[in-house]
Amino acid sequence: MGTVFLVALECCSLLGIVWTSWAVPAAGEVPEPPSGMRFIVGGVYTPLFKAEGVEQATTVAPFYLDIYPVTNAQYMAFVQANLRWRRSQVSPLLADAAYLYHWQADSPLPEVDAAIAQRPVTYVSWFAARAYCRWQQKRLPSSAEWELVALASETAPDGRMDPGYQARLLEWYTLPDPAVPPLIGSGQKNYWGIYDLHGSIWEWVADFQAAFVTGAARGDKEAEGDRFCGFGAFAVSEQERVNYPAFMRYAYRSSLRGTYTLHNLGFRCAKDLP
Amino acid sequence: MQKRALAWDSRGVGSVLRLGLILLVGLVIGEASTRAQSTKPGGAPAAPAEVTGQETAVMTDAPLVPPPIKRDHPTKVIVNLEVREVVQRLADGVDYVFWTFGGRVPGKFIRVKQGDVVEFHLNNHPSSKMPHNIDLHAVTGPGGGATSTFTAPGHSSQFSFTALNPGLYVYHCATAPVGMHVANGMYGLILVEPREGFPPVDREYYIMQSEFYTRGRHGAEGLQPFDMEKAIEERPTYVVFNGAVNALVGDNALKANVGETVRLFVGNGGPNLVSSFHVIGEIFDKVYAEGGTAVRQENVQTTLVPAGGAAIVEFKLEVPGTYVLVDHSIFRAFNKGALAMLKVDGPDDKRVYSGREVDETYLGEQAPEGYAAAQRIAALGKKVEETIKQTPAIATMTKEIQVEKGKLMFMQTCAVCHQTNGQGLPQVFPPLAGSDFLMADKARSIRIVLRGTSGPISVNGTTYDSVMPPVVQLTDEQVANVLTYVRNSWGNTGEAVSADEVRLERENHN
Amino acid sequence: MRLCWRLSALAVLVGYLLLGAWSAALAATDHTGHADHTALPAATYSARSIYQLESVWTTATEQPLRLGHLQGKVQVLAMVYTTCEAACPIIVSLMQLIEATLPPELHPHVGFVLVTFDPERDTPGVLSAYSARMGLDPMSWSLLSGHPDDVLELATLLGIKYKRDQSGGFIHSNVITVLNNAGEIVHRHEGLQQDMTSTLDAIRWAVQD
Repeated sequence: MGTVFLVALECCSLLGIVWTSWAVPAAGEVPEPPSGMRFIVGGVYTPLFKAEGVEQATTVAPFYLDIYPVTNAQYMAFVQANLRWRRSQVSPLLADAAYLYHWQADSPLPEVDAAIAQRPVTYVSWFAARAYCRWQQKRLPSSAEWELVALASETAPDGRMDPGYQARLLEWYTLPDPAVPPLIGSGQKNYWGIYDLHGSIWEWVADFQAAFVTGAARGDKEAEGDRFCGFGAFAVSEQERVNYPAFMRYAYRSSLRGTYTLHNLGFRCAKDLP
Repeated sequence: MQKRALAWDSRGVGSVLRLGLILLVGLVIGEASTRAQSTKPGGAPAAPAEVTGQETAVMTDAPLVPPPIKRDHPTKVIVNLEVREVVQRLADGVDYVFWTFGGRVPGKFIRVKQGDVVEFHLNNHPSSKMPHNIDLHAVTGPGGGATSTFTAPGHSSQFSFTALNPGLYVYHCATAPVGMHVANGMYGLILVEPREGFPPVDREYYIMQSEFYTRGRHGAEGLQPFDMEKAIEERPTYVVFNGAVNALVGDNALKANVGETVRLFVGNGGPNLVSSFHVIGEIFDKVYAEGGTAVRQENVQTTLVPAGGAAIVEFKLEVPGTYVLVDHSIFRAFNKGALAMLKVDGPDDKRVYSGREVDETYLGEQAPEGYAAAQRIAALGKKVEETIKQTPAIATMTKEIQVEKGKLMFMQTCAVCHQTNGQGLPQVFPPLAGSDFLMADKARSIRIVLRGTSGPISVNGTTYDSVMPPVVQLTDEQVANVLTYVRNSWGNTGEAVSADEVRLERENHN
Repeated sequence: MRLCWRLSALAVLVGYLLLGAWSAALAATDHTGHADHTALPAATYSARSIYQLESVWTTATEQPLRLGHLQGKVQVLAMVYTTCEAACPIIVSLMQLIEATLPPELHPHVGFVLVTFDPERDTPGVLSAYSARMGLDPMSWSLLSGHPDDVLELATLLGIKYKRDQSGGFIHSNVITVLNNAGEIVHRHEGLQQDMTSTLDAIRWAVQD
């Protein structure tokens, strides 16, 4: 009897092991994500550019990502708690002259506030975005993390092979920007449960300045030879037709500096697992 | 008082004359030296003049061109070019988001002079979605300026260059993906006048051809997004002059008068197609091919404008009317929009162009006259044939020709077995020379060549029992020639064999 | 009466002596050497000074350092890493060239700073050995390592782009920055050309200010 019991126990525990290794980590496996964030299981992301000596594929460890971009209301709370990030006080080294331009004052006027509270905050610099994420004990996502999550369509983790989906993404780049960004959550929700990665605003990433496109796409291989150490074999492959939106984001990022604030550039935060 | 009065004595006159002489000589020398300087052979001054002064560039929207530059020295020119992304009409009922230099497609026309130092400011409007830059083909330096002007929305970049080479140059955005930026309208022209300028004309116009690639078909209404697939496969939906269908048609047509010389600065923004530029009803008196500064050709109907290139054409207008400018890859003109107009007013000149003079019916072959002529020709042809056949001399010559041709064919085809002297191979291949078997039956010899033979035959008293395969590769005429040769060689004499006879034998047994 | 005066005079004298000793003591602690732990609050730096960054770095002699301690001298700053074989040695020699070309009277007023992209491998010990190998005078040269986040922040502030490559090294822009006494960027020398004229001019101007 005892033997049977032991065997049964072993079988059950064996089954238990097998079960959990099959499933996507269930609620019991990973700590509950902080509110407003989702768990991203990670994976391997192949960056756009092909170069000798540069990692072709980046392993992205599991992490948490904000479901929505940071809103004006949330950023307002940050500014009130950190007065040196007020529009009138901010250091010119950390944000340019158009910082929080759309607030028109240190705090947005009530009518402005109502209109923009639930829209992604824009006109914020990289330094400002970083400071906000730090204040929340979070951080900016890396470009590999952001792009990995952004690969997903509504129904699949990798939407690159879905030509209809890619065409819809590309369309956003060919349409004019609306006067204000759309309300958060009005964009598409992707496979991971993350909203508004496409069709809303451009978003800051921690390593935006690692994008090396100087602007002359044909010249990136040699012309800037002595400005960049180790640059010689760099080439951005335009043949990645399936991922033109990623290509354009790459080009966009390389035109930015940390102090830039733009009408269509905001951010969301990420967080490491405990 | 007396001392004061001018003393017109000999001494006074002498000194005045001397003075005058000196002055005169001085003037002559001075005049001669300036004249010598300005007519120095070769045209170009000995050393480039110093860059002095500063001015802001006068820029225009197509089809207008800034006026020719009057100053005779290089200067610093400040150019402020704004990049704006705007929604505008591409065709009737069709809108498109154009990425522009200066708010319109094509971008502003910039006019400077060789040797000018251009201080270039590229300003990307804050409402832009994308970063942009500029590559001017007139610039000597990395990326044509592109590496120094990569600009995020709401920012400005500046760089300077010296316009070393004169000519008409394209400029365009070179931000990755370059094809998309160009396809959305980011191009224009910059003219660098040579030091001596261009010869004056009465009118100058700015025309730029380009293509657009939209998701919807040609004419599909609404705001059309850019279609990357079509662009990569070079299947444009629209091919237009100056950024839209009918941009230079009707009230917007170019204008000129009879007797005027018109110069067109023609650019091609691409992104893909080469243009075969033609003005219907006019001939280009002068073509500065590819936008260079030398007149490479005169009296040209259609000139090529490369993608990312330009051309300058000049023509004098002799008669009034509406002249249609096209890309002579003609479906682009009539089905995709590559069509513009030049309306010319003024007095007629019937000697140059009379207009319609006569209008009457034309019946072609149905006309009795024409039919009779054809019949007469056919009858004559038959008569010639018969005459040839009946004239012995001609008939003999014909046989000789057959023998010659047949000999060549025999050597290639038959000599292998029957030998070049017609003797054959004893006990294997029968001889043809002096062969009773051959000469006894012409029709049989034709049949043997066409279908081959096997089984025993008796030739000149000897039995041969071999196989001769059919000679399938020869035409009727060639068979006739070979047999004519064989029947008239090595002591054989016989009639010629005609191709008709061969044909009959071939048909009889099929 | 006389005694009163004498006593008061004595009191005043003692007071003066005490005051002198106290200010001397103050003066003794108030030095702008690298090893100082206290830092001035961010607000004391000008709006354009990079010294407003609160990051704490480690020197080659393992001392903590806030960037603000570099204040008071013109600083010539570059970001490199010791295992770099391509451009970094050239950057350092260019900085040494600047040092050699400056007139001697300017030397006390100009410092040189190297910040590493690679704090994992370039520990203080490694930096110290590197400094010795390159013949860098510790009195004028500071070699700093810091937290990767702070390295990113400083690089972004200075407009320097960098990225890890597959061999564990870095692809990075080549920039030498000149900061004035207050820590404001007054000049950038981009690329690896040898012509230092404008950089030297910028340094001279900054010292004179």
